[in-house]
Amino acid sequence: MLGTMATKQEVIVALKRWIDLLETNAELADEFRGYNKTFLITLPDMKLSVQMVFEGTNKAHLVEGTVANPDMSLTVDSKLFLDICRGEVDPMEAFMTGRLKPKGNMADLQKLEVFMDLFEG
Amino acid sequence: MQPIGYDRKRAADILQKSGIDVLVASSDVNVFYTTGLPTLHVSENPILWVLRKQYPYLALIRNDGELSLFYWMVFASLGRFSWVKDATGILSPEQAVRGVCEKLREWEIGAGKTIGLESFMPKYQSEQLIREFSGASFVDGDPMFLKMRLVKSAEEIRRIKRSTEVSETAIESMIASAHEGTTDTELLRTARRTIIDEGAEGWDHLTIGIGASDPEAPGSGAAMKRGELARLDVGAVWQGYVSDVSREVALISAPEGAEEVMDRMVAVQDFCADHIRPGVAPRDVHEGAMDFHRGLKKAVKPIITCHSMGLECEEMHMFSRMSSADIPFEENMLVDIEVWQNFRDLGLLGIEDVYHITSSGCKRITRLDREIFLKRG
Repeated sequence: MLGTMATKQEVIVALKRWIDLLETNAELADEFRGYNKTFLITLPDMKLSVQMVFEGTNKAHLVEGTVANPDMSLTVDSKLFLDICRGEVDPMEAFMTGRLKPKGNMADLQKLEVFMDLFEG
Repeated sequence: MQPIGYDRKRAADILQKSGIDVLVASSDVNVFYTTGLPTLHVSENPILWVLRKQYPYLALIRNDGELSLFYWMVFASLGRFSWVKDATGILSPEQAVRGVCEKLREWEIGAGKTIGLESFMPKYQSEQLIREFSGASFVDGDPMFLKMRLVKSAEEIRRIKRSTEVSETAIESMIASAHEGTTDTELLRTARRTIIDEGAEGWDHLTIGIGASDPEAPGSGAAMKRGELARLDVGAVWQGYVSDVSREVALISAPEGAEEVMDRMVAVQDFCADHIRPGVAPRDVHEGAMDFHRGLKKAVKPIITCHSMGLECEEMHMFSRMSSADIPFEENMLVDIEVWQNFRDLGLLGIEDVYHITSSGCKRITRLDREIFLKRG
């Protein structure tokens, strides 16, 4: 079983991979141009909250801690989150079976799904 | 009088194959479908729908297709609307359910028989039926109604085609009226007026968004600006039947990249239409369409949905990201194919059109151009 710090590190690494992908994949970056939204990820089993802030360009950054009124939020078990990030679990299927509890506009959340898809490839 | 879409033989086949002895319709759409009684919330006078708590409408469908109807007895024009000969007027909820119980006994529905109920049946109705027919089995009747309704008659197709024309005219009117400063409230008013002027009873939905405003909740006062998109998504109601058409309009020019998105959404819509045929599994079309899009652009995951059209806009999802129906496409189904992607932070950008599945393929009923409409004046 992974320790808390190691798992936290895995989560941060997974999210940083999203940021790297946004910076290096021109096609993806184009889709996020003008997209200024904050995505809050809460992992209750790790007592960890991380914000991914999209800057409207090919840049996004992480802020540890919670925020009031994020544009989108996701409360998820850390293992499931990593499985989704690795492309091992379909996020839509996880949502439909009640294992994933997102809040926010469905279109926004759906836009983030592409990160998991690109990792699959 | 001939039924609009109800087919006695088809209903009998469906009930006999499923082992149901009698099916009870209690919702506005299913009572309208089986009996013609104008119970819909969009009718010339929706009084039966408005008063349904005081004077519920119920229809019984026996497994040989025979019908019996219970309705508000003040409604004196039954003969103008309904083909049901065995109709009983009621003046209270208790009287309606008592009448249904008496009819079921007359039809010898009792111990060992199977009764199908709608999942939306009011609790007092289902509880009394279960109490009075404790020896019978009760099953979910929803799938039987859907099976009856999915394949359309010539008259139903005519109504959906006309509804589609009215929706298109409403979209064209909104485009014609659009200029800098036009609000979503004004667009709504234009759409409503056009639908009524065209002779339709009303609308099923008016999903209208300007810029980043929520199209599901128009009327916010959002105003059109140059270079911004407006989504015009309309479903008129023609003699009970609905359509679902969506287009985008921009003033002067579309935002950079929007036309590429629209072209791609249209290409995916064409892929779906080219692959939908009688006998084809919906899941296969959806998976093929997702693969097809992946070949066009990897950095986006579109929302591709095909839903049956009829008395309800999303009668049944044939396929979507959430689920696929486990029945194949059939001739004379009418479906809506819609393809969307999230564009910038402006919400969904895409297209939806109504299609008729024929023996030779899937034919588009909607006639509007499939592009972003540009309003230059």
